[in-house]
Amino acid sequence: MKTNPGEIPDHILDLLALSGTGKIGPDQASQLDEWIKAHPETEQEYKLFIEQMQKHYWAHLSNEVELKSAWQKITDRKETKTHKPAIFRWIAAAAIFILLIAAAWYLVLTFEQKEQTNLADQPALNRSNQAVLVLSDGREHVLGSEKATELHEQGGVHITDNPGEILAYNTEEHDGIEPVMNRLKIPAGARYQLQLSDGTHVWLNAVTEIEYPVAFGNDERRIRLSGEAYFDVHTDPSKPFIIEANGYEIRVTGTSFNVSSYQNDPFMQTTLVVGQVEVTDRNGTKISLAPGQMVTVDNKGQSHTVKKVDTRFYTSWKEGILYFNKVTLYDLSVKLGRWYDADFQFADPQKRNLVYSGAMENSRDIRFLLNLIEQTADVKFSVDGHTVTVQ
Amino acid sequence: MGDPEIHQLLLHDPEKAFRYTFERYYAGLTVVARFYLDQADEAEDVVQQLFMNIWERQHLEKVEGSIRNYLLSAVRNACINYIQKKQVSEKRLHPLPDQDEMERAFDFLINEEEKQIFSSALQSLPEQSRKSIELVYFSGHSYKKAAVQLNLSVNTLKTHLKNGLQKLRANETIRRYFSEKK
Repeated sequence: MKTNPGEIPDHILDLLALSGTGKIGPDQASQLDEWIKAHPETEQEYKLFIEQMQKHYWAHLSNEVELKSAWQKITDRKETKTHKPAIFRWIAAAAIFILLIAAAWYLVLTFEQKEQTNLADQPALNRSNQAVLVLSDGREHVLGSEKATELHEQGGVHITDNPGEILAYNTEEHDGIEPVMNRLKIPAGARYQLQLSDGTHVWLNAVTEIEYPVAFGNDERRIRLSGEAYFDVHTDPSKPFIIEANGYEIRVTGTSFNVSSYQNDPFMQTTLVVGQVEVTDRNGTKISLAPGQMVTVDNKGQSHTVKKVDTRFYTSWKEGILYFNKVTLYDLSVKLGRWYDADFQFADPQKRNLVYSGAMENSRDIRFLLNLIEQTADVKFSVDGHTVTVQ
Repeated sequence: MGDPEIHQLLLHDPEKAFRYTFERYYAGLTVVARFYLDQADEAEDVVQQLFMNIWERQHLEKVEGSIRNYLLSAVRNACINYIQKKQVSEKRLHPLPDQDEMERAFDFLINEEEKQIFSSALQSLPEQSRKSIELVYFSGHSYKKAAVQLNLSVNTLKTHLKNGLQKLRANETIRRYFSEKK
């Protein structure tokens, strides 16, 4: 069908309206895509119309909300909280409470039974992987003790391995201490926290290695990283904090940010939460970030992109939560592999490109997530020891 | 009433400040929650609970930056927590929505004037056209179901839809809105 520029036929207008309100089906979406490709001259017009329908829809949803009754509900609950509840209210509340407990108990029981049968079928995947500290003379200490343990480094440096997986260096005066290097190695399936001698706090993700002096010198604070870490850098404008990661340099004075620089990833990512960060790539190009921005530097082509992101997606791992927003199953499998010490094998390479969004807690068994994924897409996982096969 | 006024009010009348915050943000927050949760009543429950917590724990008093940013991230967290629990009980993965689009919706909805332009344009349509559009595009009903509900034939419904969309597209106020925005 021939159309003048700016003119949109009725059946396309219908599809655009469906698209704007998120009600379009996959067949209709591809029909629309085809038409758009064939009529690039109307691009402006159809984009505007989609935006217009979105706004009609949002306004409609918002107008449907009943402010009066909502306010009533909120103030009712507000009052039951601030005033002593009347005896009837109290009885009703108690009855509901008991019912809730019963319901929760029932859910927990059925859920545990399910999980147990699953576990019985296959061997457990979570290995007890522990972080290792390498001292300057090469001695290795396995970390993760249940009560605070003192470790000794030369020159009288005090290192404490605290419960809760935190390794801390004493923060007293360091004059005269030789800045020998220590290394902390986090294997797959583990995480650890580190408090450096300047008070900087570092969360270390699985499959990560960090090398740092036991005390910093007077002009700068320089460390090396391979893997992923979240930094809460103690502010000290006179001593810039510099991270060397896979040929890049990340320079800050005091700030919170995440660095992901795995050697087997094709890119390095730095996500800034608070403060200011400057990343220098291998050619010496400097990239400055504002809070809420993430830079992705391609390891091969040396190209880089800066974009605004929801930083939660890139930093939540330090709270033990994995958020993933529109990631492919392949990218997800790389992350899960590190978190759970698992090797993913794709028997069907096509399945690498399936896209997922979601959230889950790290404390859960990996099979919990795999089950969820199985139920939403045409994909099957089988677990054998540390290998997960995707079919 | 904007964020600075709410901050001011918090100093001497927190209850009133809470009320204004509710009036300004409640509807927008509910729509944002709808991005995460399919059911309107679930979304409202989550947002009401959020307001309860804000009141009980005096969160507004503690907000240092923008109230808009605080509420947006609070509702996001509340929805994600809700979804996580739901995922466990339903053993089903609930996808997370597009963040940019959600933020655009929120900013649009807390701007009363812009919101009004788009609701009025819809209200100005002939009743049958408006109802058809609401059922098909907003509620996601099939032509057939919408036609039955409005007691029309499918063909008549389609004519109402077509006319309605063309009228919306030609609406002068909206044309001006878009050209000014550019």
